[in-house]
Amino acid sequence: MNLVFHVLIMAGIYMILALGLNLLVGYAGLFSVGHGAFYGIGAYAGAILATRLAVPFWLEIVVAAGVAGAFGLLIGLPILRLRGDYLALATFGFAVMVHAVLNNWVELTRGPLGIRGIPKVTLMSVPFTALWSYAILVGLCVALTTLCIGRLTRSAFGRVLEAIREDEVAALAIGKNSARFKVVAFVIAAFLAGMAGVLYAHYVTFIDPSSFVVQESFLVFSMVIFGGMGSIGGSLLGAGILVILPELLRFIGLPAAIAAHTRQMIYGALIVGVINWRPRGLLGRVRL
Amino acid sequence: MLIQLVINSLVAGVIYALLAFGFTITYGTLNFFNMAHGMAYTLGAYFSYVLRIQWGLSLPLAFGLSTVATAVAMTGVDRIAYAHLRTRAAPSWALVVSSIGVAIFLEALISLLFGSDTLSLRVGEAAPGYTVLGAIITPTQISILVVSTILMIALTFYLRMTLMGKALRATANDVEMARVVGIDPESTYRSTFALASGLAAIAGSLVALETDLFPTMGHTALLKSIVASIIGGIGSVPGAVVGALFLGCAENFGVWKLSSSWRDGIALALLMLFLLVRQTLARAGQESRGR
Amino acid sequence: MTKKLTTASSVLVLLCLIAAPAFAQIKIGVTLPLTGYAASYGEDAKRGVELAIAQANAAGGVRGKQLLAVFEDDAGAGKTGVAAIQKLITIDKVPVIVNGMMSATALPAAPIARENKVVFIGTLTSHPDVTSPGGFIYRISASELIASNVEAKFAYNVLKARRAGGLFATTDYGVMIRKIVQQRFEKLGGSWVVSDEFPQGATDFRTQLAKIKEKNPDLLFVVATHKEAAQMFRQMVELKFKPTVLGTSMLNDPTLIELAGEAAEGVYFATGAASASGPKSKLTDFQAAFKAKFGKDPAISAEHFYDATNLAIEAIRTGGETGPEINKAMATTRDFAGVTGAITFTEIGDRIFPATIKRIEKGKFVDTGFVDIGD
Repeated sequence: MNLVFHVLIMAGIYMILALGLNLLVGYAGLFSVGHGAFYGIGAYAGAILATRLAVPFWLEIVVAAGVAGAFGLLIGLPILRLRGDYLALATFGFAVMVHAVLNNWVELTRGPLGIRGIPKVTLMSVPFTALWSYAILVGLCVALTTLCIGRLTRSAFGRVLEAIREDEVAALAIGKNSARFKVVAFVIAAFLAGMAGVLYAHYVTFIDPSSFVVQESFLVFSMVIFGGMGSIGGSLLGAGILVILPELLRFIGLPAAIAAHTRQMIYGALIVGVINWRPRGLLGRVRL
Repeated sequence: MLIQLVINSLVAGVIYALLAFGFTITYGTLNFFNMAHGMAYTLGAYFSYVLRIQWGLSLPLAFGLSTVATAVAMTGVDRIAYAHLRTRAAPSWALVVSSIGVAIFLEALISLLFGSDTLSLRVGEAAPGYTVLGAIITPTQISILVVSTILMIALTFYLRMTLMGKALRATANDVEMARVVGIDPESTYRSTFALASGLAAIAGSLVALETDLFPTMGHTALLKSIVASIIGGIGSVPGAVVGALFLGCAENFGVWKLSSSWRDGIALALLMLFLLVRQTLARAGQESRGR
Repeated sequence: MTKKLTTASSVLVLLCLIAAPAFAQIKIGVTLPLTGYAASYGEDAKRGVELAIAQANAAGGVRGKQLLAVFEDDAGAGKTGVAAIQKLITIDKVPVIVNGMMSATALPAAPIARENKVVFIGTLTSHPDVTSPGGFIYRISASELIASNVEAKFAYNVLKARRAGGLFATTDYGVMIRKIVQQRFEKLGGSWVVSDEFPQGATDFRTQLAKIKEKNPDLLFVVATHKEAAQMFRQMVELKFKPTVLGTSMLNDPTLIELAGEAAEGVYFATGAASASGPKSKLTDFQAAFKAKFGKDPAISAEHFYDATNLAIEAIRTGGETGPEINKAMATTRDFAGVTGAITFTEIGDRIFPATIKRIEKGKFVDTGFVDIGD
């Protein structure tokens, strides 16, 4: 049963990440491959607040996610002027840089030693220390995020993002300040990623830079593509499947080492397969 | 000390040049950032290992065959993972995503087949290098410099003088025009890809001779390819070489002054810097032309 | 009706017969990195476990049952490690888990084991926060605190080094050790002239070595894996820079000799001390059995995981098959004869462990006879 809750919690965390990234990739057409950076920033900000300053959880999650959002603003402003592939490279570079900083700025992050002893969560005097209760907490966050993203994408804001994706010049022509919309979307996505990071930190109670390597960004990106760009249900499904799949493979009974590599091979093949033969993913609406 | 830094920079630089050359021509003709480029590097090293250590071939023969094997393998990869997307005129990010999948797959495959242990291409003891002007250079480093320089010169000749080379440049420049003058884009794509992969394979083999092989060795190679290409201007061959040498120098001189763990950080900082500078310049150029 | 009943009951009996071997097995959970950066250590560790299980089963098993090791990949990363341990606890229902090659997996995993009353035996992780009061968590790795102090003492008192430098990996391990060694060395009266570092997995140390060579230390403390060290030593030969080198127990791996060859001659490293009687021959027996079964020499991961598995087996034998029973037996372990030395645990599950210094001579690991508890 513990395993089930574990999988639900991790799936939930990745769903939040995927929903945020979908806003960028699926709706706005912004090719961001550095999402893991904001995840890491949120996790560390939360961990530092919780362990060094004993900040109550509700405040901590807002502030930490806010820090991630702030970085989104800081990076978004210069980067979002780059087009397509260059944006991808820049976000990739940003993710690697954040990891390097987490690893090397020892005074702040304790570098490779990581931050441990992140306390379990108590929210408004309700303890969420049991596994099942934490799963509920994460579930609530996922529901909240889905609602917000749903609202956003169905609103005028969402329509402008999609217009930017389809034809940025046309969007500019009708008077929409595309740069501003892109930055706002970027900040929102970063904020959500930061929130996911805090949830992760309090779950595993120990974080170190190795959890936030560039492969994490690729993983979340794949979830969005696999689930389908521009589809909220797609992001939820994509995240869920790609989290559950490796755990399922544990049960097949291959020798452990082979299973681990096979998992990776299946994962890689899945990405190639989806993008080649069903590029809109499971539920996506965006055509190639 | 200065001489030592120059030597280290050059050795690193020429390797980066081989990598960046392939990366940049792939972008120039096939129009995407090939995130599996590092795997061509890794495959080259592993093929060399099989040929030299397991089959006992001589070093030059092993390297030569491994280069060919990698080029062939990657051409096969192209057919499976990228060609289909090209026929459907997919946007370049789709190709990038596909190449990420390829990289993940190939790395896991190599780990499966060879294990994650570090393997060695060498068959002898470490020997003190030669002292030149107060600095040390080893025989392997000399080979790297010589082989890479010869290749660079050969490649320049190829691009300027041979038909295939010109076809490559034409396709990179304007694919429709190239088609009009009778160049078949698909075969140009294939030969470009084979060439890029082959160069990466040689780089991988040479480096493996120096510092052994392991399945994740392609990660740094990819990073350096990207940075060197961007610094020099993506799609530009002389730019890639200049960018590569610049990167080699910046890293080694930078590490000399700063702490060594920031070496990759230097590469990244340069990447971001040049990306932004180039974009700003391009924008400024557009605005001044009143677009 | 009778026909159905007969069929049903025979199927039931058949199922019980098939399942019976499963009931007659005692499972030991093992999490280790089978993918990722530390995968080669994981593979070595796995072999150590397999040998221990095979030997125990050949001797008749424990409490009349055969032993089975259930392996899970933790990829050396936090979240995969948590998933691995959750599976072992909830699905496989193991009473004891051998883990802890890396702090990233050990730190989140240990408390989970404790909560579920499953015994956790850490092997190589040296992060001080893995063990704590509360039972169920044990660790058999030599505390780095001890080994590092021993290194500093050896360098100063025996090798008579006075100017030392350090080259270490920027991992939790590297950062901690460098600090301890430097502090101790300076406290003894030596001077620390230069420090440089490299990222985990680096293969090119030339610039760092050139910088260090300029400062000319007579002793170089190195914190690196055997793969990194092999490159480092070769490059030192090429750069004509040969100070005395002192490393950590990560160098205790025959692959180092394979990769570095003569470049590793004369290198010292600290490792756990197998005591003079008993365990010393246990080590050679182990090495012989390992080589016979796998065709390779064992390295440090194999040694530790072998000991951990045997500890678990012994605790099951004397204590029982459930977690709490095993925990009680583990807590009273005294001078257990392991291949890494005699094992005794403190109240918080750490191991009391003198360290010794070995030297590489003619491609073999040779004792220097220096043993200390590095107080």
